[in-house]
Amino acid sequence: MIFDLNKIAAGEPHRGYDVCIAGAGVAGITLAIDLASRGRRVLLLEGGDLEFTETSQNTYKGPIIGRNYFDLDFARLRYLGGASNHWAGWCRPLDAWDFEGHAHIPNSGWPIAKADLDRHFERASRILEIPAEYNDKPVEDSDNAFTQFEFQFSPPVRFGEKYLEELKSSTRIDLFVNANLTDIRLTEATDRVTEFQCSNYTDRAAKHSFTGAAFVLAMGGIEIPRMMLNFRSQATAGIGNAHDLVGRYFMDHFHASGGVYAARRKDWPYSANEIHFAPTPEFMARQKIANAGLRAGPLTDARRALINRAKHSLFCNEDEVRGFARSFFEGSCPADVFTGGYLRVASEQQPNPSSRVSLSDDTDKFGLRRPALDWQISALDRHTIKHMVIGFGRYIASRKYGNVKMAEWLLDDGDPVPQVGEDRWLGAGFHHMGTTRMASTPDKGVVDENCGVFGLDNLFIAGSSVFPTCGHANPTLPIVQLTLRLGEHLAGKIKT
Amino acid sequence: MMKRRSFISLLAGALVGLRALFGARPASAARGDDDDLLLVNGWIVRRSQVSRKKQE
Repeated sequence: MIFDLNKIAAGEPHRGYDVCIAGAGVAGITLAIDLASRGRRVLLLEGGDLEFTETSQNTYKGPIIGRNYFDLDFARLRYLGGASNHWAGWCRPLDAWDFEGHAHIPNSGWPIAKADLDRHFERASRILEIPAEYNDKPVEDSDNAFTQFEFQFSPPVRFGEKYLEELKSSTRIDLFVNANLTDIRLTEATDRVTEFQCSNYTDRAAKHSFTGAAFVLAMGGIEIPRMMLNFRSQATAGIGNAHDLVGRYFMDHFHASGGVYAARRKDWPYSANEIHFAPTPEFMARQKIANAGLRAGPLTDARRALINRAKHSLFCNEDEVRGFARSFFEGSCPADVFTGGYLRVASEQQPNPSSRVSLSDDTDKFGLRRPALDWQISALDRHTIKHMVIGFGRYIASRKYGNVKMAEWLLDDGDPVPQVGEDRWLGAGFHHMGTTRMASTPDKGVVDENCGVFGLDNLFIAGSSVFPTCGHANPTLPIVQLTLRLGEHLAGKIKT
Repeated sequence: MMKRRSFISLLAGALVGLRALFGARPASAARGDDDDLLLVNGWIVRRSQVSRKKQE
């Protein structure tokens, strides 16, 4: 059933739920549908409406402090379906070594293994309407440096649209829209959650209470820490924040231009489409880099890309570019046999406690402090992109496939890392991860292996904010896998 | 517009050994078909690609 909290007066608490979920995006809807299929009675709260509204979206505003980032009300969507409403559909599971961690990357790795998510791989793939297979293959002649990997592409699934009828007709799920979480109430001992409190847009002072056996935050990697840090009436440091870890370790995938590559068409052994290379664990250890995805292509755009880039370094016009190219391709090389294109790298970020979501002094219409984002790029992040490009350049040059021209900003480690907005390739993926990271102990993270908040017996977190290490690929598939795993855990914990 | 002679001069003058940039290279990358790599104006190239040009 779907209810509009704008049309409901505050009164007695809404009771009787097995699980109360705040946030109706990818994780929240997946969890609600899963738990309902297991016979559990579910509350699903959505701060926005069934469709986009400025009123709801305004709640997402917040300042960027430090490094440039996208406006926070641009990088997220606050209505049914959440970020799936602007998702491009890129899917890929995490790699095994993302879970294992790396000796050269502090705070890397998960307390669970890839196999723990693999059990949910096929079902998650069906939900996202993608094949459950990835034809990755080692790049045999790269000295064990690279794997050529694949993405799968969801249509993309818009979760609000896909599941709207099911949510309407479900007798086990109550979806309340325009229901803004404004407090999480705890027991006197502050060891359990007793209720979610919400407000609507028509009477913001009125408090609507929802009670249940378990509670789940599924509002995304910025909004979840914002809420946990805001609610201090019973927990002075905020919910689950006894170790000052909530909001820290914010990660996105840093997308940067690595330069261009060029080749004679007859020498180039790969297809004309964009190709993807990831480092092997051995290459990561050898170069002391994080995981990354290098994207090369498309070949048809080669000359223009080369010329545009070259203009900014040595050359002034196309004739000079062509002359320079000839010098590298051993004689006559007419433009029509000349191929190449862009190099982009999407890098996993080092888990960094100083990269964080905190609270600004501004408040939203409900009196809650807005988020302030301090997104940081570490020396390792830069090092990763640089050595992915160098490694790829070495590979194609030594095999006589072609050549790489490194981006200017990678040539001198003293040059500043370009800011978002300086180049069309520079940016991030709107992947908000790490801010309530999973760990084995409460001094290392916010949630345990089952996504349960340390110190609170019945509060859980769904979504990429629990990723302690994020790999290089888009997080939606792992989010769905992890959410199905959480559903399994909650169903085992809360018997019908 | 940059003259051809000055261009060649600039090219030759810009040669930088990639060993310093890349650090130690694994033995498997030093096979006979993998001649020395250089960084020239940001391009990662084989030495032979540059020397042919210089011999013109």
